[in-house]
Amino acid sequence: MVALILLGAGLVLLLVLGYSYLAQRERLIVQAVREGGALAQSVAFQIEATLGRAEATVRQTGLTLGEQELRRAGSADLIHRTLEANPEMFGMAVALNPAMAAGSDFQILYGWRDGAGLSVLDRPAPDEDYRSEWFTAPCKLNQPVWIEPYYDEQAKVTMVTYSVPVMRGGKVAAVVTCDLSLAGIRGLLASLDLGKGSMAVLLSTRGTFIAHPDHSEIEMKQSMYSLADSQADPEVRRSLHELGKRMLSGQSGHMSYRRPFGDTLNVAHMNYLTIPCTGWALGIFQPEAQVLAPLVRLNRISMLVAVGSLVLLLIPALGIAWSITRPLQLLANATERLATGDFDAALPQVKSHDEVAQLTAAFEQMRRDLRHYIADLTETTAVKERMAGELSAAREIQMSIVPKLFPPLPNRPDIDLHAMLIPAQEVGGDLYDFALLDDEHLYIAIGDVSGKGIPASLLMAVGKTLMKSTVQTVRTPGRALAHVNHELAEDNETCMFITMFCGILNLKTGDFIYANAGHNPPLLVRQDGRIEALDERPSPALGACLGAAYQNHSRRLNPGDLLVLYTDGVTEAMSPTFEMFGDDGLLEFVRCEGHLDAKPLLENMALALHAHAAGAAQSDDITALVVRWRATMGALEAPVEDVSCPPDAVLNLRNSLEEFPLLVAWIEEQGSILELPPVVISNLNLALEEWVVNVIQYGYTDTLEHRIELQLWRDAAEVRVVIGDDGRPFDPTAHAAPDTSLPVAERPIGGLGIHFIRKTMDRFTYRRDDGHNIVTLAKAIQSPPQGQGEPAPC
Amino acid sequence: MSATNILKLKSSEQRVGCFLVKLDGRLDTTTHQQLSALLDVIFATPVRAITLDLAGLDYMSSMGLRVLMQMMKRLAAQNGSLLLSNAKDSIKAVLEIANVLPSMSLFASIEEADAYLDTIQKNA
Repeated sequence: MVALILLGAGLVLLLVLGYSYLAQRERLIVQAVREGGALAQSVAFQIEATLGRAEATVRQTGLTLGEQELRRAGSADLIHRTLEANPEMFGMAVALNPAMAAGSDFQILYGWRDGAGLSVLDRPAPDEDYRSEWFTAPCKLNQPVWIEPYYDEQAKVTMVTYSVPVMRGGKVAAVVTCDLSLAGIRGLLASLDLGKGSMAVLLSTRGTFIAHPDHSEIEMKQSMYSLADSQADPEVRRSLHELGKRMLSGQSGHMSYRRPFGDTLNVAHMNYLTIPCTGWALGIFQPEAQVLAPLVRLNRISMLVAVGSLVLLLIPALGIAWSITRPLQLLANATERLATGDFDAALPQVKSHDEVAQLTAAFEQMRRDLRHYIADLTETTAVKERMAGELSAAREIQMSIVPKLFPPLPNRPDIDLHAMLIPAQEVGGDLYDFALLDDEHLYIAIGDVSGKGIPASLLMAVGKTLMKSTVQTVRTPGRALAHVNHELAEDNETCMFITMFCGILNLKTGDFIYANAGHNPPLLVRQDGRIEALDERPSPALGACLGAAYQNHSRRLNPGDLLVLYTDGVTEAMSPTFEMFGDDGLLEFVRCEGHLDAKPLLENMALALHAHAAGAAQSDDITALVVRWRATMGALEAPVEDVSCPPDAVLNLRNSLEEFPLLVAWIEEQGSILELPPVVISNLNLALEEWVVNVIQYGYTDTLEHRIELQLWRDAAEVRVVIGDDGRPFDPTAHAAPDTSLPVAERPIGGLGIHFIRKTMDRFTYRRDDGHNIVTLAKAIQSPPQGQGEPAPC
Repeated sequence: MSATNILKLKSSEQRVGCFLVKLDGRLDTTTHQQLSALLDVIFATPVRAITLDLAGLDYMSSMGLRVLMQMMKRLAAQNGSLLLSNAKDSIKAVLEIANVLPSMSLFASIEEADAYLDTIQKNA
């Protein structure tokens, strides 16, 4: 910025200086020419005066001579007196006209200054003198004449001679002359106060330099024309010729021309005029550089002043710039600190009232606003966090109210039960519950409270607790629901309600009695894969309708059947494109995965819902409870086979039909070793094939390799094979016998294998142990007791 | 009783549409597909009757019975007959358990079966 200011100021100064220079230059040249002319005029007057005095004296002398007898003594005396009286005169001569000099006592007398004195003598060779111009010219012209100057060798003086005819009787009787030294005129010219490089020159009528500063080379040796001819440059040559012509034209004026100064051509100005009496030309020569020298000097001083001014200007400019940028710099620093959250950064103190001060004030306002805003934001966030904390506490309440201990009924291998509750972001009001009312009755329930948040979770706690305590005494689901509905609906000012499904499973008979208070119909998945929704018309939700009745329904479960209870969080789980998981999605899932144990089943369900949501936010609690009735406790309490003694034979098979020949060979081999009767071998063969093939073909839901272990005992009474596999739970003893009464053409193909086992074996038992299906096949060897071929009683 | 689980099959067309299939060995999980494949060949043309000679069949599991039941269904669709002859006791026991006997005819010998077929032919 400072540089810009200085640049601007410098430019302005340069413009002013340039304009002033051009204007001054013109004026100076005009003035120089005018002054040159005036000087030339003045010098010319002085020269004229000097010459005029000499003219007058000589004429007077001529007149005096004309009136007297031209005698030697008189003339000599006259010469002597005249020279004495006129110190500027160098010499004087009187020459008689030879044609008129008969009888005279002299021819030519010449007097001159000889050292301090004067000498007047006869000229030694008058004939030569009579031929000289100084004698012939006035005789011819009958009037005074200025003779061309010449250099006198004897006197070593440049002189000019003025010749005046002495007239007598109309004829030239004699000529009187005077020699004037030009030293005086030269001294006059030299004494002129001219500038350096300027000069005054005097030209004779022929152009010869009478006076020139260069005495030795030019004076009396060169004429203007010879000087012109000696120039190498044709332009200069032309200019000097032109100048000579003008100067000798008898006029006055001035001429500007270019002539060499050193190596370059520069302009010079010449003022000239003619001295009237002699016809000489006087010139005052001034080189333009010298004319302009004062201007250049002035300009140099001006430049110095300008530079000085700029330097002086620089100091305040720097000061002003600093006073502006300093607060801005501080503001920028403060902004950076502000950006890092430091609201206490010092702002510059601005005392002025300029734009910087306004900016600082606005900045201060912004900082104040920001501080308030952030304080507000912090407070709001804290409030939100507190609320989130309360919500999370509510969620913890919700989660702590539902039973979470799994396996929930550790000593009941006949029940495989699992439940899950995945709360949504906001606390919902889903619930599930289960309990063994006694050894034979399992209570299960699932529910969903209308609304969300803390009220929902509170109502859910109330509903769940009420329901559980009620069902302990009122062993009928419909009556229990009615009782709880009455409690909730009586003073239900908030108009919230709970949908609930609850049921009681008789673990001895498989009878399942249930009632539905407006809840999603659970699914009953039969052992053989059939799926049924328990979708009898539901009764009103709990708390919605005072005095409502709740209808009981019932189903008989077979061992291995599965109940799937769920809330609408499952079926209404949304994908990113707002497609619901749906009843069909749940049905499809149960169809594929229904064979799994309860825990992996729900784990897979959670995964399937997660995959369906694909990142979409969960809007509602996801709750499900599944329970499989495996078998009667009686079946499970079947005597565990005595395995204390090691088996007689062991065979391990992979779950591949390629292993089948190994099984056949093993039975043949053991039958032979253990001396089994052929019919026993044949029956064992059939039963083992049916079971092992069944396990290989239907027992696994994955494609991994599994191991099927066979152990064989033989004692006196029977041969017994225990087969273990880690496939999906399947109780073959609970498998319904096929209807063999139908004609073959109308029967389904298959389903006969387990029937064959039952018919050929004397004992056929099943248990589930540590993730394994354990099947025992036994065949009597001795003559069989009564009831041979019938399955062992359960 | 065979020590290996092998099934040998021999089939011949006694008269037009009437086939005699002789089974030797075991009809079980691994071998039943052989019989299925043979039946696919036989059923390529119209079939009126199939007689199974079970004299050499030692063992039959439910897998084998499935093939027999499929055969009966296919024959029934074409109004044809399945005749069994020379079945051993263990095979008969399996057939009894599955209660398929009334649906097919069990004969003591091939000759009896042939005679029965003749009767059917004449009646038809």
